[in-house]
Amino acid sequence: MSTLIEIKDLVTNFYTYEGVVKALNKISLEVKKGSTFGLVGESGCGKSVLVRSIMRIVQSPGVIEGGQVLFHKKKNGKEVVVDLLQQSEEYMRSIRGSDISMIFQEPNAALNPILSIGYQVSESFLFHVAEEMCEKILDELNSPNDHTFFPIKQFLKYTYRVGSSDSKAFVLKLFKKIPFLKKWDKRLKKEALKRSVEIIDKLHVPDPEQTVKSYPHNLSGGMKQRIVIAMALACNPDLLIADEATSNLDVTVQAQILELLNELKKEVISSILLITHDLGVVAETCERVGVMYAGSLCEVGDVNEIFKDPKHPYTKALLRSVPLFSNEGKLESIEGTVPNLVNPPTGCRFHPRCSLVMEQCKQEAPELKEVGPNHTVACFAVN
Amino acid sequence: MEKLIELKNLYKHYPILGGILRHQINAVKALDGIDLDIMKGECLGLVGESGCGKTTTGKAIVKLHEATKGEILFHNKNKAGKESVIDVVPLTNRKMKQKGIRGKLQMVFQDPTTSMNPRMLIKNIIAEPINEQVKLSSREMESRIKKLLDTVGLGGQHLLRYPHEFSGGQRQRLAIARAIATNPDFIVLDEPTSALDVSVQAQILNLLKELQDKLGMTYLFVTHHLLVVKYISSRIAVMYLGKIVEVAQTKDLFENPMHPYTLALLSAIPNTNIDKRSKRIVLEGDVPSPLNPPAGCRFHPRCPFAIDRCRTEIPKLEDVGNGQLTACHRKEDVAKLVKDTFGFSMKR
Repeated sequence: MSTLIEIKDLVTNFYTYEGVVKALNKISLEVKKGSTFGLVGESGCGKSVLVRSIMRIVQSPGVIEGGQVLFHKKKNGKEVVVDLLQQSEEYMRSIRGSDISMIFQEPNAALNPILSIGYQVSESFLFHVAEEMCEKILDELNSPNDHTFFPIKQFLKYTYRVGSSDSKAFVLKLFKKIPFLKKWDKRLKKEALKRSVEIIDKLHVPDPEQTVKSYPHNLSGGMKQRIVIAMALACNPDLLIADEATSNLDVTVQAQILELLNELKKEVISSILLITHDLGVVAETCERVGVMYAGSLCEVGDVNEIFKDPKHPYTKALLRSVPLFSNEGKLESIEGTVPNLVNPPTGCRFHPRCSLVMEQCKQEAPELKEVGPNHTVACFAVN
Repeated sequence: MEKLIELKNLYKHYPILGGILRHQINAVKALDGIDLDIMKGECLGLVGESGCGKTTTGKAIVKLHEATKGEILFHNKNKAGKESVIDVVPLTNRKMKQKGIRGKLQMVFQDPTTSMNPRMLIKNIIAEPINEQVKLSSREMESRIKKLLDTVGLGGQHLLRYPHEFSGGQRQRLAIARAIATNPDFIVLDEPTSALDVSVQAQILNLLKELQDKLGMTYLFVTHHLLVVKYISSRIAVMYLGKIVEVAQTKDLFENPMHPYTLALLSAIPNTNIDKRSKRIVLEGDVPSPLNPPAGCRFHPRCPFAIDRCRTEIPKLEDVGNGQLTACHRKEDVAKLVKDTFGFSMKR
């Protein structure tokens, strides 16, 4: 399996009044095509900051200070390796939604309450695949079945010819201002709505025709999350990032959504980067797991290896402190609290809470070293 | 085992007003006839999806919501040792204080951030419930608060701080300290660990278990997280759309669930044990609205085993042996049906 996205030595800092929060401490990670990668860790360990650094939507006062994010992008049949941190904002805007998509935790916050569902899902089509849709409409206009009035037909053909080469052309923007010619994009919107109904139907939402006319407040939580997923998958992205997408949902609805994602992985998406703090969800859906603590990666490996034979002391402690199905004994909590990242501990960031701490741990930060097939651990006590 | 609280035929309907004269046109039937017994010294878990009425049950017992109909019988033992059974539903807070039972029913809320007044010092937050019961001098109050903070694992140096200066786990400990301040017999815990991290959750659950052993309290643990409730409760009640569908000892519920809804809930839990993964029963659709609950058994539109009788007759909560209660018309056949339809056996 080839790589889809590779992160090398990513460093992100937040410049706050209290000091510089060193949120990400040289993270290196790789997601392969066609696989699901799970990222686990407690609150405040940097998982959300990591994915937002990939998409370059880190809120200020956060600044991405160093590293590379190498994305293998398909362009006209060939594959190009692009460093996302070096690209312009306009390039990133064309990537977000069409090549890399993201879904968030709170579907209420992701959906605009005053716009209809159909409008919101069509937005991604209208932004990314407008040229393709214009071509399709042009073909329809040229076909012998079309019976629009001749002058209007010529006008529409002209506008869609312009649109199929450049959807943001000045001429089209001008037409939007002139009252009589404003209606040229009616067909475009209709085509986008048709595609929205198709994608919503693919996600097993009952009665998609009615759903596109309704508003977010008419839907339940599970439905809203499906609509958010539809918006993300509209343009067939290569990578779907799910930032705690099922944390707010009930157990049964979560089961439905996870099954749906598994199904779609085979057809629509190539890879999923799943962020969660629920180890059960990771065990069910992911092939590879990365465990994060206080801005550094502790352990990365296949899901069977990590759950059966965890090597890093933090991973072991985490698996012992979570109530599991088979867990009969007492839950062991980890001593101490998550460190303040303005003054993180020197060397390995886990050393104040670690049971296997040595002198070396306080001075140097351990690097990820291989301990088994596809299994890397960052710990001096293990290596 | 003695009973501490009995809920008999409890109803809670929230009226919806409409029309020109603003009369009642419909009601949200949050609780529709609940019968539940809570034994002394146990931890009863109350599970269900969101919107099924579990929080409303907890709040009705503590009198944060007034029940529309029914009885809540509290077996009280006053200072002299005399036992009596008091119906809490018609009482007001003042009458409860007169009878001395207001301090015995307490609650811990879900979000530790919003359940404490951000403008009050910790010592005032914890002193508030104590002040309602007795008048203590400030030195006595301080020593009592310090003892309480010690019990929950925090020190006396936190007295003059504000809630925002603490982490989520510490705030939940403060909420627990506030709940045990009046020496209650019974505490309702409304999803106390849902807003917390996984590692902090373990600390809080261990603390709750410790307190139960030390102070001999009874808990009603309301949650939707089945693995947490498996760890901490001895008995579990499952609710669906305002009605209780199954009550059983924890072990019996997980090994031998009898109601189809319980089965679906258990199979939906993500399992970290990669070898022992069984197939899932994925329910279709969403929970129906409590405005117009389905006729007959509330679960019949989503139940894979529904028959005609389920659509017309409401099943009663009946004893199937070993203290396990189920409300299902087909309870004897469920094990066989699961095996035929889904191909796996219920017993894990």
